[in-house]
Amino acid sequence: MGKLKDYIKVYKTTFRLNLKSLMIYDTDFIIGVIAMIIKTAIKFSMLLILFNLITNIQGWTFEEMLFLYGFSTTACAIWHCFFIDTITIPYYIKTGEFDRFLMKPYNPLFLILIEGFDEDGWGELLFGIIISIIAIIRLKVFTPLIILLPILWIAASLIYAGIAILLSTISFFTIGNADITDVTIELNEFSKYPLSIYGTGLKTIFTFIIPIGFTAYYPSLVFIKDTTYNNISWMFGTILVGISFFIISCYIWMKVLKKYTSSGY
Amino acid sequence: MSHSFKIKARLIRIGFLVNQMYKEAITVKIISNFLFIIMQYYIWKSIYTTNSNINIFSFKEMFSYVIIAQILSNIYPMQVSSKIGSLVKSGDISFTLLNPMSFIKQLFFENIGSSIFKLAILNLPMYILYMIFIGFNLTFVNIVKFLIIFVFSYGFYFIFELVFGILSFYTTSQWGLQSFKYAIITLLSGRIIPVDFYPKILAKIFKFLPFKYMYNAPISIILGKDNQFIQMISMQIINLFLMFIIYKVFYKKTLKRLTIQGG
Repeated sequence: MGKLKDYIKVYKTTFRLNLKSLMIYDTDFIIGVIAMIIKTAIKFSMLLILFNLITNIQGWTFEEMLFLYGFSTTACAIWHCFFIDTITIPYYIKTGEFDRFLMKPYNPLFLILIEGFDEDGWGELLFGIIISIIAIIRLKVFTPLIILLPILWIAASLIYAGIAILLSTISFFTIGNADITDVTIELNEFSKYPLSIYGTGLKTIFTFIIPIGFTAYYPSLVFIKDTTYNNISWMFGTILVGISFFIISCYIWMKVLKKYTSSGY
Repeated sequence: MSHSFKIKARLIRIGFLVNQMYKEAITVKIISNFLFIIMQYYIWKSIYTTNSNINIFSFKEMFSYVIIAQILSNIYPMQVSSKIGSLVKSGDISFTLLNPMSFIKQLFFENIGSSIFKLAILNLPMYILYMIFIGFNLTFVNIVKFLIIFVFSYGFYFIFELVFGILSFYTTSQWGLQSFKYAIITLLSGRIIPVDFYPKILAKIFKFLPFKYMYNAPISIILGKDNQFIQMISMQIINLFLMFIIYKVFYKKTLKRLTIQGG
């Protein structure tokens, strides 16, 4: 119990430090945030252009796609803002800085996860939330379950964190020459479209192996389609899958860490 | 003369070999290429099965477009601006500027080498995918026209990257610059969706801008969707020239600023 208290204390201190470090940014910080908003907006405009031409994607209307898009973007942005530091692991290993985390009396993965905030994610987060609100208004989602939305976003962001953690284990063997971010972000793109459009094989993979389906599609069903028993269980399943996938990823990471040998820099 | 040629050939070789060193990075790149193509395949397939009103491109043509766009985006010298940015950030730019060979020339030839590597190795799975899913649907004349346009596009892309690289003298937010670049290219060049799919007014404006020559124009040519070859080439030469002037003026101004900072 005392250990947990310690961890919370460390987290609180770093959280405060990270917040303070955000404030020292001036124009560059603002440029980064604006650029990220523009980038996200342009990506989003592709959807607008598509729907200027078509009326639906396999029965999914524009409003429904909007909700899915907002959910997916927000979840990914939460990961981007708070837990993205695991993608720096290859770099840490390459430069030898990784050993610094191993010297401390805390879990190294915990230390890396809380290492810093990524200010570039804030614009994305803002954009995602705005899109979600617009979608909720246009879809007239009135279920009281909507209060759970922030929790679902966080649960979904844990899946991205889990994927990034799992991918980072590869760099223990390759000594960090590969850029794994690409793959995590590429996977995020998949979740912006309904899972039903992908073939059965891919659908199975995205449900049971890499739970990309749970980062937007499954939890959105209850809000977009009907409030059936099935869809509600998908929604609560998301919270369960998010947390357990994250824990399993951390467990695997710790196992693989035993194979780590310093790069010798 | 032959000496300078030798140096250039060696720089191209370096550019090629550097890529070979990062085997894992290439593997990851191939995987994410695959993921992108798979996703695009399913999206366009479901769009074409539920909407019968798209008559600009057939599904097969659309999927060809997606794969060729990916092949092109692998080849283009995308890292030039971030390379300049990191040199500026670390301060090493001052050394590179002192080199006897122009720093820009050096970058250019290294990137040619890197592009050859990507053309031959990174894109190999893309060619195979193309053959399996689409088959050989290109004519020889169109390929030649495409290659001529591509040479100019490559030059334009390189200078465009240089201009963005120079911007990093003014801000340290690398990520911000890269995002801006990404936004411009994604929207204006037809990288993801052909410009013909855009709303009419936008399509008209974007067709007037030079960025469509990065993706939309060359792909339309190779697929035989556009026949205004001579007009395209002449426009490209004008664009290349204008972009070069912008770059030259900008470069000179910035270097002066750099001297003041160092002074």
